[in-house]
Amino acid sequence: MSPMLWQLYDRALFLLPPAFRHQYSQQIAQTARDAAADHHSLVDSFSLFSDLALTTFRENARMFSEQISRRPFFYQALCLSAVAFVLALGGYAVMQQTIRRAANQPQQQMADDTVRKYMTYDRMESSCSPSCTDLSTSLQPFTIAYDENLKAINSDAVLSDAVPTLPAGVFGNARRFGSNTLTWQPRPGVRLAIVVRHFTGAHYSGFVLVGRSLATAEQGESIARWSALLGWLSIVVLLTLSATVFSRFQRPQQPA
Amino acid sequence: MLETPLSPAVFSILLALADGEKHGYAIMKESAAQSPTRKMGPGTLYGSLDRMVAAGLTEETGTTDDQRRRYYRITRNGAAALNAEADRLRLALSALRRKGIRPEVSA
Repeated sequence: MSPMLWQLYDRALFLLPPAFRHQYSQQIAQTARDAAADHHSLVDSFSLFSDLALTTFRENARMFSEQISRRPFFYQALCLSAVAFVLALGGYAVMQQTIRRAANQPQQQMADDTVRKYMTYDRMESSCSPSCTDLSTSLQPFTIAYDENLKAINSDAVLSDAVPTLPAGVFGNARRFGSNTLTWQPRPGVRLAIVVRHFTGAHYSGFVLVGRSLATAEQGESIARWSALLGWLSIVVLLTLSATVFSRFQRPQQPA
Repeated sequence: MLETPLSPAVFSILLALADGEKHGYAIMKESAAQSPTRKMGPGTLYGSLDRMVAAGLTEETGTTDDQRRRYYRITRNGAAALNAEADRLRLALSALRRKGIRPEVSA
């Protein structure tokens, strides 16, 4: 083997578990060099490295297993903490989805009602009476109508004194599937749960957008997130305390 | 205590040490001579030796040579384990012979 490969081999010995490495690494290196120097060499570099890789895996697994048998309660607590984490994460995901889906109401019903109304309209009247909803502050549901050219033709809401415009792709999906339900962030800090429906009326055709601020829903999500985190941390603390108490009363392991 | 039947590595290490103390490479070399198709690397050798020392089958002699190679010898327990394994193999070989399998193998 080249000096570089020997250097690599010596460094790879550091992957062995500390106690085993301390006891045998010099002997392993010496034996490997003896084998390589022998006239009838028993080993080549590939078999030396594969043997070392196998030994590293085997000895680390053995060390891990010994540690578990020495302190079983802590490893049980660790496993239970991991299970509790997955459960807390799953619980949070269910709560978050429930809250987010609930935030799509009453927009879906309002969008259906508005589409039915617009299909019979022959003239659009301004809905901003007495004043338009400010999307940056209001929690009220709002409605915006766009024509087929994506130009706003009616709105009861504004953002920075203008009717906000959606990305064209949202309308494309609403046209293709009849409806599109999504979260829209017209500007940082303003997040809306919106429903976009395509309609074709006698005098007008285009899109109806009904939306509502997600601020309340996001507060609910935040509470759910913190509840899941605190619940999980409480379980971890309880498990750690239990493991500590049980370890004190554990009888020393008898040698096999 | 190591389980019986002994693993091939443990058996060949005990067999190598049966006629006197040896250092790692000498054990490896003799193991290779016993079973040329099943060569043992240094990592496997010392992993097995570690377990065997813990099980009381072998022990370090406490002597080292100028290259600081450590020497190992078989213990009384190790010799008993080797004899038990030899008996087991002898019985297995007899059973094979009775059935006419590998009749050319001689004891």
